[in-house]
Amino acid sequence: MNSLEQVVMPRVGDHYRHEVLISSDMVQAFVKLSGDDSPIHVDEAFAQERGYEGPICHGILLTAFVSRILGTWLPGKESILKSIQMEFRNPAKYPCMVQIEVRVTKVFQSVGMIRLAIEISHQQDEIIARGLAECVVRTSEVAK
Amino acid sequence: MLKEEILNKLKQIFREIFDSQDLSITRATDASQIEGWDSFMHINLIVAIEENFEVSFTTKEIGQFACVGDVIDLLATKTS
Repeated sequence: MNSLEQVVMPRVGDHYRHEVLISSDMVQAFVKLSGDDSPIHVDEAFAQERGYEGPICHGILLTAFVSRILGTWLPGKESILKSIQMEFRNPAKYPCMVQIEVRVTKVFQSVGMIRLAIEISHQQDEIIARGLAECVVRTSEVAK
Repeated sequence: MLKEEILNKLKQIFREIFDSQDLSITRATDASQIEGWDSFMHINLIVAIEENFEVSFTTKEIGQFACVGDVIDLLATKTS
């Protein structure tokens, strides 16, 4: 059996929540990968002089964990990201535990596209970021 | 909804999706006549039409669209 035949379109309300510990090692790895070594992300004194408790995590590093959910869990491996928008509301001083949740808000069955709401928060429920993603999902229904 | 009203609304949607105010859209327009009408733009277009007209198409229905006229005819049925 072709694995594609087992893929079904997600439904409105389907959601996935994932917790991640944002560590200093992760931020350093992201600095190396992206080249974004802005001191606001890595320099304690610099960040504190600008009113933060300490250096803050890159927004795009947090968004990378949204990619992880979209590509591996919801919708999963038969999907590709079509668009994503993020609005960052509060800084994330690291190390910190963050919760990332995506929830299906709309399904366009005809073209195999779903729209998902994204929420990234601290464990204390303070919102770090909200966003919106659209993914195209190749399911057996769409492939036919 | 009258077919003329549907066409006028579709013109606005096409112009917004393809980012071209000069785009000429008639019943006979098809994908070969519009530069950049690839599979991703097709998804953008169908989603915009579904949202603007508050309708849902099936995969089979959009597979039968050969030109804008086919879209107009189906929308006329769905919005009547």
